[in-house]
Amino acid sequence: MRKVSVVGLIFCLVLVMSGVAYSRETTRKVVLTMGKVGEKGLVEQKHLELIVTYLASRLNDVGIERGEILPEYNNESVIKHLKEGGLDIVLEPPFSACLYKLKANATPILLAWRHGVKEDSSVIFVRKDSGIHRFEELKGKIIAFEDPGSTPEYFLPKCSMEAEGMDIVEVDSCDSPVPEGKAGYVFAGTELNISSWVYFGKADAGALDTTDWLNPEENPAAYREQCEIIYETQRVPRVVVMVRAGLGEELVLRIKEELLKMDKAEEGRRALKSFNIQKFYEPPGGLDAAFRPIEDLLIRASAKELH
Amino acid sequence: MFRLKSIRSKFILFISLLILVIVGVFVGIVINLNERSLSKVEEINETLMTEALEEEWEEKGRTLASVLALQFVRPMHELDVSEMHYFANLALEEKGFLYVYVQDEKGQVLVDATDGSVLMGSMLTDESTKRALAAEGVIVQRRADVVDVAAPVVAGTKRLGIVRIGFSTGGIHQTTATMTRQIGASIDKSLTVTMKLVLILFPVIAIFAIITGWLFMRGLFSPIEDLMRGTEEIAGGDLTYRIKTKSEDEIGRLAASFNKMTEDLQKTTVSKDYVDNIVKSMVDTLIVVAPGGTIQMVNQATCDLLGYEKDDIIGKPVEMIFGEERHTDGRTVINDLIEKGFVSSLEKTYLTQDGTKIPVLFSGAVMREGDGRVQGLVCLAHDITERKRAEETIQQMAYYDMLTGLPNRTLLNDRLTLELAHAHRNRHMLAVLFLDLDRFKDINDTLGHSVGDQLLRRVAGRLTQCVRGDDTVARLGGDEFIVLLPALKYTEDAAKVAQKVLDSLKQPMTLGGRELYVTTSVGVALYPNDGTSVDTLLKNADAAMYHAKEQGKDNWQPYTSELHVNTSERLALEHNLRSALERKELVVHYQPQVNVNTGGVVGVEALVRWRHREKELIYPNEFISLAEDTGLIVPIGEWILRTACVQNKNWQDAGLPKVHVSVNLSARQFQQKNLVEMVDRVLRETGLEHRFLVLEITEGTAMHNVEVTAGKLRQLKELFVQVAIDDLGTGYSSLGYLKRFPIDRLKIDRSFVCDVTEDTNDGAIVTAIIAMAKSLKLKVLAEGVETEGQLAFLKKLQCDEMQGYLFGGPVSAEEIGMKLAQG
Repeated sequence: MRKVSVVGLIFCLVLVMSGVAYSRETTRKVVLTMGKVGEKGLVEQKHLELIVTYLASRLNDVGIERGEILPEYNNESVIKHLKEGGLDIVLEPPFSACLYKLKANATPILLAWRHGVKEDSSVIFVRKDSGIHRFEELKGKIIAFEDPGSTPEYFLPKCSMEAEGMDIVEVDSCDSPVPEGKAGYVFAGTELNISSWVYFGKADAGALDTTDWLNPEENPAAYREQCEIIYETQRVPRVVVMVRAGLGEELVLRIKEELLKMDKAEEGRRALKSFNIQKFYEPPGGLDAAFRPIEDLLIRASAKELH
Repeated sequence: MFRLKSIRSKFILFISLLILVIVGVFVGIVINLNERSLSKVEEINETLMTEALEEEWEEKGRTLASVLALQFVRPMHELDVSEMHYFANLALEEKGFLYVYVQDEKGQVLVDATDGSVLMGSMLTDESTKRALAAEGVIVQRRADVVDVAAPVVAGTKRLGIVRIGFSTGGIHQTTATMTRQIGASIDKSLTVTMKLVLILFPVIAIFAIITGWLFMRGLFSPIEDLMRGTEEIAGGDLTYRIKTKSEDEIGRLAASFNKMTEDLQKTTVSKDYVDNIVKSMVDTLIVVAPGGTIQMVNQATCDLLGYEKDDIIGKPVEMIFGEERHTDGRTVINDLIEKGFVSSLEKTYLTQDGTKIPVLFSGAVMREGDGRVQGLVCLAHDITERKRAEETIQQMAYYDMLTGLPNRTLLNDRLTLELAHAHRNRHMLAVLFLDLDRFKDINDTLGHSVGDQLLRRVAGRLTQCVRGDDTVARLGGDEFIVLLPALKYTEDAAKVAQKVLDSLKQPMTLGGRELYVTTSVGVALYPNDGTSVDTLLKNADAAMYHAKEQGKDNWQPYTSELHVNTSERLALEHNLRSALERKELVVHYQPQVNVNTGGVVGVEALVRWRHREKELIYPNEFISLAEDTGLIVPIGEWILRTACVQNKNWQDAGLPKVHVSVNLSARQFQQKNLVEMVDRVLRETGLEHRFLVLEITEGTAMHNVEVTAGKLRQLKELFVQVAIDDLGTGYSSLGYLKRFPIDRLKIDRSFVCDVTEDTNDGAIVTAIIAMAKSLKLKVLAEGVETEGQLAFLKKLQCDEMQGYLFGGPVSAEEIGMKLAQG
């Protein structure tokens, strides 16, 4: 009994000390957190760590002492942490960014070049010998998307297709039956799986952004030779930089300032290269103008993710 | 020190070179082996390592392919190309792996993890693929520098495809070649280091080799050099040199043998110095005489004995030492020696420088050349002067009396025997006079042995003057002398000589400042009337002498046949006295001693009597002397003492007045070492108080040895026993001595008392004794008081006590008891 009392007392003391530590965090921001969603999150987060570390090292003047990566696996968890203040910055494609804006009141501050392009579109492709040659012929067929958090390999093609009037539903597997008059879709998990599934006939069609379509690692040459594009979406920004609501204005300005000049410094370039980003930029028409087409698309589409 | 031609130098060089050659050969062998092993190592290493690495890689490929095949079951089933590609890429990161393929059961490539993934989606139909697809398990195929390992991917019983991993053996060869080069380089480096070490160490080894060789040689040659020195020393004549090495090796044994040989040589070799030393240290004389008779050599002992210097003797004729002594035939000792070859232990005399003859024991030998010619004569002589003197002394001691220089009993016997023979042959008479000095014992006891000895020498001189030159005066011992008168014609001649002797000795002699008067008793026995043998004549002369003593001394008596009877009686008396104690034939009578003033009995004197069973009562003057001579006086004296003490105790126990009892101690008793203990024991055993015993010793006994007497008297006084000096005035004692004795009383001898009233001398003596006693605070008792006149005289002189027939003679104990009872 006495032991229990002692343990209890120690536990209480730990809680009190934790509370003290937390209250200090809230009063003075010393750690800058950055996140990224995706199945490849671990690898990408590792690459992202170089960017946040570099950035934090430049923000000592506003109290930032170090940068950390907050691992996230889906949009829900990102939204949750953005709301709670645990996540400060996210670098995501525009559909996810738009989602965070709508759900977590996050603010886009910059766009970025990635894989050498500042904008990209998605394509729907099928095997040449599949007998499918037009977008409309996908009804009753199964399309392979990457994963629910992917903008170019899910949001963009799906929303575009829906905007075009294609009724598209998720099915359990490639062998599952597709409802009448609709197109089914499955998640292949990776771009390579998408191209492979199409090539080996597991899926009838697949969705890739144009960059991946041309990337032999994601879509080997032999595959591409045996496939053809039957639909292409509009072009959207490659990467959007979002900050959570409530992050100090001065800090946001400093973040924006440092990111914009990051490609000017050797160390900054090395960090950017690890994440295949060439540079950050502000669109000439402003972020809202750049974001609006995507929002429209989302609104027009019956995107369940918005709800 | 370092001589190139010496064995040491040669050995040092040899050992040094040997060590250097061995080291050089060893180094050469090591280098050669190193080089050979290097090429062999390279050759073997490459082959073995290639095989080993290939096996290792193959095993690694098998393992990895098997693992991937298991890993890829689900992805393959779900066509998760991405996952398979991911893991295939990971596998391909392994160094040396060329490709990782995943193919379906038809051979179509699902995953090509190589750069570009060019084969993805293509169908492979080559032989390797076919064999891999057909294989049941893991298959390894080699083609050129590539090893292909394929493992089937099986889901349950369904074969989904294969995983193929290819790796290049070119890398293995490259690796082994690199490793071989590294090993070679390492060995080369090691060899280089070894060579450097050899180059550095070579001079060190060379120095070490030289030092080692030098030390070794030093250890080896030090004893050899010692041996050389020893040889040189011995060659130089020093046989005392010894090698000091203690090693047990061959050289050590050689050294030991050398030392042994030297010891033997030392024992057996005689050098000139050695001989000279021997000759020099000889105690006996050594004279070497040349064949011509001249002295060739003498030793120091010869010079010392004869008083010459060597130069005085060498070259001189030997006669200067040997003398002109010749045998009757005119031959000399030298002639004898040459003729006989040697003589030994001859008694001879040598002549000293001053002509004195020294007796020597002479031995000589002839030295001859190899051809027999006489080379010289070696004469040894031992001085026997001392021996001769000793012989004379022994002769003197054997036949002459040391004190007087007169012939002793032995020589007397010889001469008497000789004279008896002459007398028998010539029909002569001879007389034997047996002399015994009167009262010599008293003189000896009172004046000491020194005076006694002087007296005897003086008597000898006077006796010698009384006889003829052919007569013999001999001393038998003590105060007994014999005068042998040979070739007598008349009996009266013997009587004349006897009287002449008496007269001569009667003349006063001054000895030690004293004038002494000595008389003698002489017994005369004649040949052939009184005996014809030595023993008979001496015995009969002795008997005659005793007779003379009995006749009042200071006379001579001829032997008669009656004397023979008296002698026999004396022997019988001695025999009976010995058994008298056992037979309880001795009795003690007591004579009263009275106080002069009161007339009361104050003590008694114990006087022994012999109640002989065949004779009347025998008085002590008849047997005490005999008891003294035979030693019987000791047991008899103790018996008297014990009897007297018992008796006195009985009187006291009977309630009679307590008086002292006086007991006489003879000279022999007094000289007993245990006298005091005996007296004490008797008193304790009888229970008589010590103070009631008075021990009387004669003046002569007391004066025999003043110091011993004083000591013994002190011991008796410590027992609280009273001591009295008996017969005072008869001896020659100094009254001064009396002061030194712890005595209680003096007894004046009866001879002074009896004439005290008539002889003024005796009266003066008694007066002086009593006065002296008074001054010494001693009690005085006068003996032999028989008349009233004597009593009155003594009483006037305040004599304390008296004893004599006036107060009663010696009577039995019972009578004394009654007298005491009467008061």
